[in-house]
Amino acid sequence: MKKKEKNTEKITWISGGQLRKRSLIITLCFTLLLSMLAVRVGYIQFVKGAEYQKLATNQQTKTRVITAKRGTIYDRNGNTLAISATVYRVSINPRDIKKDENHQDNIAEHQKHVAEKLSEILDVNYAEVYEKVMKTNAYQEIKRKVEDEVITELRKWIDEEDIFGVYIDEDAKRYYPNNSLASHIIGFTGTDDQGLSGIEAIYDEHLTGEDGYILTEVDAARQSLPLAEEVRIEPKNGNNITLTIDETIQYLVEKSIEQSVKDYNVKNGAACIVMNPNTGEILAMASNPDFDLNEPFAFPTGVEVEGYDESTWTGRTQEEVNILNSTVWRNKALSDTYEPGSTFKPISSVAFLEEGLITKDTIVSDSNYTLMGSTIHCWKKATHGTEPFYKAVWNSCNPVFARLAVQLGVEKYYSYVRAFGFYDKTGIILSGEGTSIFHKEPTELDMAVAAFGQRFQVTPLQMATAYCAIANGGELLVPQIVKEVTDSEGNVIEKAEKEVVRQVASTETCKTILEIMRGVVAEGTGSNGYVKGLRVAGKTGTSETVTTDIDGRYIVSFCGIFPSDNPEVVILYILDHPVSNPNQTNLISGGAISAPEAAKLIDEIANYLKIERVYSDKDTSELKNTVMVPSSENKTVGQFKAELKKVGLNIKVVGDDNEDLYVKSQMPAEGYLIPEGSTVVVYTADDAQEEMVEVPDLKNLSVNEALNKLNSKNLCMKIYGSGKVMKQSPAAGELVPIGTVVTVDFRTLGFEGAE
Amino acid sequence: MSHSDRYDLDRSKRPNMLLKFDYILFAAVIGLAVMGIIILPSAMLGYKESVIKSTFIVQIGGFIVGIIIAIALSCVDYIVFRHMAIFFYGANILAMLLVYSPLGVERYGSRNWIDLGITTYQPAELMKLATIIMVALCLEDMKLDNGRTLYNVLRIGFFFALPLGLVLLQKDLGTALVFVFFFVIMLFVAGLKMRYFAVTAVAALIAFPFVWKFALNDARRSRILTFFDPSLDPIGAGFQARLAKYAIGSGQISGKGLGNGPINNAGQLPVKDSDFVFSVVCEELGFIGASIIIFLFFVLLIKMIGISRRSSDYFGQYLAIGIFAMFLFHFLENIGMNIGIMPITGVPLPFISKGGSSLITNFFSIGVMLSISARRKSGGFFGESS
Repeated sequence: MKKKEKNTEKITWISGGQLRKRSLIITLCFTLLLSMLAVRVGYIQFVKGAEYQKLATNQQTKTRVITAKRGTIYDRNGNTLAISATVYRVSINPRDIKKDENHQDNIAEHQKHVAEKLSEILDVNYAEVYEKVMKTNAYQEIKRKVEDEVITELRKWIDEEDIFGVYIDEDAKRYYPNNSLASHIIGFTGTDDQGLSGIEAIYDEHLTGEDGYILTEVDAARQSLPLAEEVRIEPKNGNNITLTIDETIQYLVEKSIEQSVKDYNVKNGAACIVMNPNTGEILAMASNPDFDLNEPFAFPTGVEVEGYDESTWTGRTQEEVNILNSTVWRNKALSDTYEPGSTFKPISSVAFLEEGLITKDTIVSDSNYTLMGSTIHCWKKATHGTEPFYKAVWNSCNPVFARLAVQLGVEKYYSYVRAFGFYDKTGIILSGEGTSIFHKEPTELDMAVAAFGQRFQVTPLQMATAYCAIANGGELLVPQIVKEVTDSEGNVIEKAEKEVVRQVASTETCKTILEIMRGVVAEGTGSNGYVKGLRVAGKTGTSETVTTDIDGRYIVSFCGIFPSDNPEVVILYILDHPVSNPNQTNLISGGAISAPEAAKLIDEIANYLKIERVYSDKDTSELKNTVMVPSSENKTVGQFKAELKKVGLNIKVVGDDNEDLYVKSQMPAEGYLIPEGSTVVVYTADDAQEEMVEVPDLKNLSVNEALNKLNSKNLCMKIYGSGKVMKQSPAAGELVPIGTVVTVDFRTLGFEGAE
Repeated sequence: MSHSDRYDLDRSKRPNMLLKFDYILFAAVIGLAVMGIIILPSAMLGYKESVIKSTFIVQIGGFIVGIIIAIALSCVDYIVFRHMAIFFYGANILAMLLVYSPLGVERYGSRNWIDLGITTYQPAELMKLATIIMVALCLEDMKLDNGRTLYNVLRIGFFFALPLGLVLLQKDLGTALVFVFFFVIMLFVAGLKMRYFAVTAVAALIAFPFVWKFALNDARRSRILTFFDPSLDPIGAGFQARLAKYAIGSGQISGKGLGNGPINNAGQLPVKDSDFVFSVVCEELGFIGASIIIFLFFVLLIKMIGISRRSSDYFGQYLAIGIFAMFLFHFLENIGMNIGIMPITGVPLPFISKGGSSLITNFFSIGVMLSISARRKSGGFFGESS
């Protein structure tokens, strides 16, 4: 040993022969430390023992949770879209139940009784409850999200039998007052109130509050000790989210696309986006089919699910969730991609004008155009020949766009497509945004075809966002869905601000495009999108899909901006695979289907937003002066007749036609807007038999012809669109009471096969 | 210097195990393990019946397997570990990396378990022993080898830093501290000059903010912060620490009796089958129970120091002191956090806490210890070597 230590002395960093000395130091140190531990344990047990023992007895019951209230989701006007209602959580302390003084004589019986009553009142499995009652610890949860009325019953039982050890605490349950409204945007929560989809998931951290606690310090003998105190840590409620969505517009949009899906037998659902082009705010975003947020896992409605039926549906297996994910939960407006078709032409037009290639009046040729062995035709067999550029847009002439794009060149043309954001995600905070598909290295032919919107795919939201840029004078904006986040006291935590991605084109160019697009609706292929008195700029689109040749799947769309001189709203209306059109020709196109439906929707939105209307001469000539039906309440037949005459309406009295009799009921009801010269039917007896009439067939009639025909039958008319009658409701041949308002859709035909 | 020069011991002769077996050390270990088995059903109060049953079986199984391993290892010359060190070390490093494979399992916010199908295993457990062996080997080489200082320093640094880094990556603060502790003690005993300790202390101080920020997760950070200011987290770690004190305090001299501790029954003590098992012992077996455990550990540790001092070669000395340090740290940290003088880190109490892999690793270490002991130089309890 000695010898070795000598050797090591040469090594500089280790000093030799330390083992014995140093291990002695360690022995001393750890002996000291161990003694200290023993002393400390002794100190806690003997000196502090009595005090801690008391406190320990007070710690008999489990910490109970006061669930923080999840934040509310509002629409832009403060209407509630998602709210947490107070429900209850029932828990027990098995030890307390066992120690209940009142039942010590037969405790086994008592435990059984408690379990029985709990399972009966709360409707839970008896065996499970019994098992929990028999546990040896101090906390068992029996049921969550118990409704108020059940709790009342439970409280009554607890009071009556003086039950000890059953606790009722506040819990929260998510409730969506509008059921399916904006379901894809709002999203839903899981059993633990955690956000699973949509805003509920993305803003989960904001919406979730911090739970509070009750640290109960009551001893097992139910005697509160002098030292006992209940520590209550209050919950911190979640933040509230205000969306940019307008509940009313969202409702109008959903109603409209749902009706369209029914009317045109649409196979793959529909999507619609309404945006404010000046801020990028989304006012409505709807996707059909949708689902009830209160029952997100329910059997999907409005879709065909092979191999499943409602009775065996659980909504919980992976396969079933996958089905929900790909159908009703899918936000088509955000996640789907589609070929925009002719709705893309205004984007191309911006490139042509901005680059100075043409002006709106430049004469262009619509003759067939052959490029790289393919020939591009206009939808009109004879072609539109030579025409000014703006007319080429009105007429939706494909060869014109192909030619101009080739003149511009691939690089320049695609730089505009890129600038409009079609290669990037829009940047909306919602998750699940689709990715656009373009040719990686486009040839001249790829580009020529793209110039009129074919052979590439974009998302509906990209399309709407690009239209917003045209509408607001060239600024590409990030679409906004959340307006602000406020805490539970109302302090603003986050406020969305307008986010400009880039300036895409000059204000001048955008103004010119808007003017041309207004002509599309007023004069061209989009004339079915015309709304009287409203300056709508828009473009229709009919897109082929990969399955068009096999099953005839077309995607028909209309993209509109209004009012065109000072745009306030951009709307994109898409129906995916309409199968039939009530029109005889059974024509499937954006102009024939999407434009008129979008027009009706625009009409309603414009009314709601109180957008000022300016009627053109043509409008006034076609527009029957409509008047509002007055109220007949507390009026005699004579009085009412005079009032009707003042506004230009006729009266038909059913029953005793005595001027002094009071009017009992009227049809149409007060507030309806009907054309001047229509007849209001009134009844003078309470039990008067309604006079029935057969609805006439109005097919292909003009507005005046239809009106005369209905008037002659004492029926009223609500007019949509202009041109010839294409659709009516109720249908011809149905028996209805006189005075019924028949809704009639007029269409301008003559653009069959456009786009 | 020839190889045989290194050792005083004649390795061709096997020691008479019946005479040389360290009965006192072994008895202390058996005593601790029995205490663990006595308290375990009580520590699992409130758990599901099936869980209690299976855990109990695993613990008894681990106990029996552990004893067999320890006795078997005591018969094997520990020099085997010197020869096999690199393989043992390498295999354990591999196991540490397995937590990142699909076999890895996450528990209590740290991904540091691997799933072996029939049971889960925490690779950091045996890694500690493998590292101690490696460090002991390096230190011995250093002691005997002249002129290759830089190589030696780099080698020991590498073999120590690699497992420590892996443990830190797994955000297992408790185990990382075990590594640092036994390394320092081993260097200290090997005779590292005091000024190097001073330099290292300064380096550690500088490294602290980085460890704090990158190597710890929120839960760990809050545990440490709460140690210094319990009011930061009145219902979390601070609450746990307070409850542990209530539990210990209410035990007094003889305890409430097995299964009757009010705090234990309230089910509020966190991981009371492992980290806070000492509180349960104090509450239910009182000061008597606690004293028995502390006494048994004292015997265990003092025996280990003795074994180290009387070992026939440097490797044995350093290996024994490393194992000693590992047990000492576990013991101090675990009991310390129970009685509120150390921050809460997930370090189990050896032989007492629930856990198969920890129990077997501990018996494994004891087996190595017994082997060193059996090949010791003759002498008394604190016998002088000469």
